[in-house]
Amino acid sequence: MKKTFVSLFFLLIYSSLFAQNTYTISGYVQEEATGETLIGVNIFDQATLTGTISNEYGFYSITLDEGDYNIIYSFIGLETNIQKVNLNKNIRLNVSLNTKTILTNEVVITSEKEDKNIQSSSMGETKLQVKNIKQIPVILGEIDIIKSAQLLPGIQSGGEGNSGLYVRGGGPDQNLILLDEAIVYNASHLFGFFSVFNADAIKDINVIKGGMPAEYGGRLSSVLDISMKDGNNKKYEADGGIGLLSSRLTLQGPIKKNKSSFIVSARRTYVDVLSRPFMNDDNAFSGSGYYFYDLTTKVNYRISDKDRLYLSGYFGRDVFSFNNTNRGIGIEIPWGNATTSLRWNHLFNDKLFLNTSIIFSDYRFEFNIEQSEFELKIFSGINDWNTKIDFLYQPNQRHTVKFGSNYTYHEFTPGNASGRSGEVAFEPDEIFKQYSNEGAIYISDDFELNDDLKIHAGLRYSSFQHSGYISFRDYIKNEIKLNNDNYRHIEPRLSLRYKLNSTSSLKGAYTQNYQYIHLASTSSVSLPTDLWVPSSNDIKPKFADQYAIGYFKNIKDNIYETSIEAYFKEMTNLIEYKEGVLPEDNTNSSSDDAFVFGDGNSYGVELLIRKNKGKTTGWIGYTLSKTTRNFDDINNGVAFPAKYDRRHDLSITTTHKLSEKWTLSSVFVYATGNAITLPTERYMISGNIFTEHTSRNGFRMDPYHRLDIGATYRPKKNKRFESSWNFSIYNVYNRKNPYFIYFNLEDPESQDGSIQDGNLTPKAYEVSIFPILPSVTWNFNF
Amino acid sequence: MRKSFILICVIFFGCEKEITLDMPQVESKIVVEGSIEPDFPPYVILTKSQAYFEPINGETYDNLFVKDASVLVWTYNEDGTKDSVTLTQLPPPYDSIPIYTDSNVFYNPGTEFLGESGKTYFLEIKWENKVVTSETKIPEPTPLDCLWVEKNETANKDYKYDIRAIYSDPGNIQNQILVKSKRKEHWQRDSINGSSPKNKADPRLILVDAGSDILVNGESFETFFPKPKDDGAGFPSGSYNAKHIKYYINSYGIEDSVELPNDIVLIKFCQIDEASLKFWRGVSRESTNTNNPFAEPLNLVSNINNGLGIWSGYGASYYQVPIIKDTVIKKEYSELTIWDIF
Repeated sequence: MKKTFVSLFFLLIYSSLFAQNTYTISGYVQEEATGETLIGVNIFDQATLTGTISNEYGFYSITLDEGDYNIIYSFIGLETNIQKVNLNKNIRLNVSLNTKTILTNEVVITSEKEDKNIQSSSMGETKLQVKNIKQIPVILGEIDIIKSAQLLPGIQSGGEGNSGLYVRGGGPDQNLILLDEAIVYNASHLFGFFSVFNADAIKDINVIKGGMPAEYGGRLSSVLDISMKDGNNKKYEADGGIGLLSSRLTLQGPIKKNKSSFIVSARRTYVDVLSRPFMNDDNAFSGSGYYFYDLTTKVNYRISDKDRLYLSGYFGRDVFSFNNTNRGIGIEIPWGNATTSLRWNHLFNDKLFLNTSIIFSDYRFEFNIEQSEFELKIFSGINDWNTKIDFLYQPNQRHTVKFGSNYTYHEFTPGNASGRSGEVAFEPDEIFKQYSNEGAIYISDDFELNDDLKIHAGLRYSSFQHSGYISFRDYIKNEIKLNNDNYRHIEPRLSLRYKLNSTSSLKGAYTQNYQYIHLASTSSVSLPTDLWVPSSNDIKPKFADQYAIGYFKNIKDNIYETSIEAYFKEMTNLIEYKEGVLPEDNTNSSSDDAFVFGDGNSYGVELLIRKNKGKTTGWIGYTLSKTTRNFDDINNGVAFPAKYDRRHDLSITTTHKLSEKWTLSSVFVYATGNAITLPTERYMISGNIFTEHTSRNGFRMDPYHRLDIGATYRPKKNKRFESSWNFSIYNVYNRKNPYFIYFNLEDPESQDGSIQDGNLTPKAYEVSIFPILPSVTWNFNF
Repeated sequence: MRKSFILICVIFFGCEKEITLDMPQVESKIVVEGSIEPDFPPYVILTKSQAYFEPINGETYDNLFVKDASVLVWTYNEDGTKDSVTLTQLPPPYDSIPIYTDSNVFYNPGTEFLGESGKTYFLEIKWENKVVTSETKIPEPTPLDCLWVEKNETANKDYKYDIRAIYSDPGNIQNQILVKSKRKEHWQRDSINGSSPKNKADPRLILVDAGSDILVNGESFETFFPKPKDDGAGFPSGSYNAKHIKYYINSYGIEDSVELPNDIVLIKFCQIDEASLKFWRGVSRESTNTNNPFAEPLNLVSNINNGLGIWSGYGASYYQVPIIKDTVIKKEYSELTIWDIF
């Protein structure tokens, strides 16, 4: 493998040496007003339309023959910039784009190149800009980037208010969620109702649901690559918002003008604070409550024209507490993520860009319960140390080569308990931990064979080593087993684009992915109790094969983008808890024997029609799909629908700019009901009734549908201060969407019915949670 | 927990409505609740499962019981020979619940088939062309060091007492513990009927808790046995009654009082095998309703092939605890009868 890697690399360099009389224009693209680097800017030669796009650090490099050029820099929402260039040597050109001032005065020339979806070889990839997301109506006014991503075809939500992502039949643990390259393990606040990302601090989101490029790995289904804002390096700025549920404040500004800047963004909910006056100290439940907060910070420093340094951090916590003094019970459940990434960009030359990162990522969960003098504390978590080296090499206009390596040291704490009974404390002799090493090297080339055919070929070589654990049984036998389970795999990634004409293209993709760490969950909503476990002797890595084909067409001068994609995905070694296993059965031990393994597959068709320009913008996404699971030890070995198997999933998102002051928006979603397992039998043990459930996920809840509308009002800006009001109505027609169904044997006459007296009636109830919910948020900026 | 979660959801946000569902037809299964323990014959209660939405009426309960099954229990001796016994239903007047056991315990005491710790016992039930089998082992009992009665400091009545104990866990094995209790005497009177207090003893042993020694392996520590709810449902958190004066309104509408004797509690402290733990842990979990409505519903993990329920070997130690202040008990209860083990 190493040999192939090295020779490929040299071949590419070699080929570039022979290219003669070509020169390179390279540099960074930023927004004029804030100095914020811009990701995904189209940069191309006006005459030939040959071009490139800026990378996640705003860097670009374009190599052309000697001559005179008009280089165009275009980015949706910003004014296009044209640079006249006499190319007779390599040029470093940092470009700033102005904020668009007048809506109608659009520069027509740019539209010819706004067909990235036709030109690029990537499939199943969508960029979402926070600016656009902020206009979509949301529940209780809480802007949520993950919920916006759920509106794209092929990406499903878990249900009402659920911020879990289910991409092309994959589970929520199969998504690589990166915040400035750091992995975020649990992206939900409030038991899944909100995502952990504060939109005020986010610049850009790249969603990849298929055809994953080789630089990403370790997950089967998707990548959600989230870039934080760098911070305004021109002037100080404060943004904030006051909403029904939470308030936000963001401060940013230059540390040294044009050289260094910072951003700090914080958010906190205040339901607990608001409810405190209503709960006096005598109340049995005094001290119960719930809150979450998060803090996002970043500083960057432009050391020189060739070197830039970024330090970003995220810290978030949810705290749930429950007190009942009558029963002498106190429960506290805190959990949350913390990430830090330090990155260094270096330009070796105009064609070779390097990013080096050192990343720390931590997720922890605690459960503390106290009842009189008894105490129990359960804690689990995962933390990672990660280093990455990523090169971007653009030898000429036909190749974009990426290569690099990644190494992660994982430390899992899958569930430890300690307790106290009066004076006696129970501490495990050793905190039970599992360690593993995950590594990968990759190379990919986006290669334009001729004007019609473009190939993206990538190889990722990944390895995983589980470097030992201590199981309870070994511990009591005084035998500590060192386990050197080693997995090594090659993951090919391939996608092709064939241009049919100037407005349409055909694409195809094939990818293989391995996933070495797994989320074991007993629940359908993302609960903080879900455990991450590494691959080991017993737990094999998950594997997926994915095939996709697509037809992409732009209509009316690229005003409308349309695409239809079909995919087939096969997954093996999926993991579930054994039937009847309780997560706490594995406390302080290796939980490997609590799991069962099986396969899954998913296939479907996704349709997207998107309008990016004009007064009315938005998209329609529709997915027709089927997802099944097949486990020998679940459902008697019969294949069953996955929890989020959805036959139909439709979303229509529109934004209409009514005037300079008013913007209107709406979202409509429709989805087939969730598959659930119902009790089929009841029986009696010691006089109590228990239920037996057969046919896993054999029943469908009613379909889910909902319309939300929103309006944003921006009063006239004054010189210093700008504010806006966001009004939204969630679930306009008050649809009672099923949230869950529960069963009860009840006595219609009184409370104390029993089977002995024969006065119980079996009943089923459907609970829905969010009715029509209006909300208002006030946002400000100065 | 689940109930309160539903309540919170409904109060703060949404609504709930009754729905009807098309349920698949299921064949009813045989449900076993059986056990064997040292010095007592095995016993088994047999019932049937029903479809979830099958209506419940006055006959449902009686029809649940399987009264015409043939039940066989056997074990192997060290020399390879087999000892077996056919269990039959208890004779009247003990047949209100059809318990299958070795009837020699009544007719020919001293000749009955008795359990021994360390041995494995096999069960075979034949009923309506179905054969249901299981096996279980009786672990060695591990007695408690001592038990005592202590006032519950948080309770609002001064006659509420807890049973506390010191247990020393054997360090060389991973073992599983099951605790059941019943009030053999529990005196109550209500305001209207009867002239004297009545003994409303618990009809059977009620599950207090089941768990493994993972956290306490090899430790000697103090623990306590809360009183389970009368129907066994919910998290046990109650206390027992010591002798006290009860005030009430008598049939003439005048406030009156009566002295009620203290409770007498039987604690059954057992070692069980892993299969039994899984089952009984599931029972305690299900009845405390702590599973959230999004969780994949849990079936109880049965060790019965072709049926539901449990066949448990209990390495049992019994303690009879009168709820009297400063009582300390260091010995196992020696006057056990077969009626104590149910």
